[in-house]
Amino acid sequence: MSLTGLSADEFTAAFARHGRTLWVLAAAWVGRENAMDLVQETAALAWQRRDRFAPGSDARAWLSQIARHLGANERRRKRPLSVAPDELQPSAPLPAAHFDGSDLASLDCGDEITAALRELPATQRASLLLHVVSGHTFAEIGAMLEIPENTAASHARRARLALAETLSSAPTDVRTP
Amino acid sequence: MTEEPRDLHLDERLRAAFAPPREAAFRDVAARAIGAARPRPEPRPFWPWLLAIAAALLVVAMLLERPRRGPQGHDGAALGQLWATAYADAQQHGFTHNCCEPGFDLPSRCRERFATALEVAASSGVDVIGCYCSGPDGGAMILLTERAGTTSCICVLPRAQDPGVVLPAGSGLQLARREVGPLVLYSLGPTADEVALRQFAVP
Repeated sequence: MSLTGLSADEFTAAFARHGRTLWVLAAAWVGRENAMDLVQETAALAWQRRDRFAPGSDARAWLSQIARHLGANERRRKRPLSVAPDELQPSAPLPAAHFDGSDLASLDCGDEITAALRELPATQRASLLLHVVSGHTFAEIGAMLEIPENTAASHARRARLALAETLSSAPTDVRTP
Repeated sequence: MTEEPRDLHLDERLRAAFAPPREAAFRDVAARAIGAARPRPEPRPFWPWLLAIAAALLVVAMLLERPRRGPQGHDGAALGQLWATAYADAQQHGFTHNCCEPGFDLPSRCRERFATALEVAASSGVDVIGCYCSGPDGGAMILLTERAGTTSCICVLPRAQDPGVVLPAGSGLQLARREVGPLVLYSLGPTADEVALRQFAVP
């Protein structure tokens, strides 16, 4: 749906339709705790820039681009000298040791699965979460992340494998009856 | 992707951990974004300015191109008609002193009327018969002259009050024009006597 020239009501309806997807993307990018803030910033910027949206273009991909750029700017602001996880090449092995996770510090550390996600590059997290949580195809995910469809599928697969390995190797609680 | 049991379990955990808020929450987000946006300044229409500039240019052009009027308010055609009538009248009176002021002194007369003296060279061959006074002159000084057997009216008026004289069609007369200092001289006669005009000078 085109956002150009939309009235406030139409913009609200369009944003509501894609808001849940944006939240998942934001959660993958900056953590669940900051996801809504990022979504709010995305809404503000998208409303300001609604005239730049080309009629007939993919509104969800356009909003995703804004959200990713806002999120990346925020990460760079907090950690300007570190390599952003999503700059890693998909084919390279996961250099988990290169992550200090400081850009993902906002993730809820008390949750085992989110802690495991912290170890992953943002693009891998986003590819996996958008597929599993939001149910998007890899073609749609590729459009949102501006990567090829196959790359999105590869990201999701590698993320799943890494998560499974991390969670399976995590110490389990021994409950005493 | 291979959907193994552990994958399904992992997916369930991810969905639980990352379940997004309800759609209504994002309506509120959009509404807040719209409400918080600074109102865009209304683009100022430029056409009123364009109209104002065009009007100003038009006024300036009209002022610049405003047709000048003769000393008594005649336009070029009206003055030409007066002069043609004066020439015809002078012709009818034989182009003699009968239609002129007696004792005409060109330099002093011009100084009185136009604050500028005007004289004709003594050896110019131009004979100033007199100043026409038998009829309306439109505020110009109409000199009756003769040169090489041809009579002409030399009409003198301030350059600033020259409306651009044109003779009426079919008058059978020719017109020549020359500026001399702050004055403008027109020669009106059977031929456009530019030679006679060049004999006049501001001392």
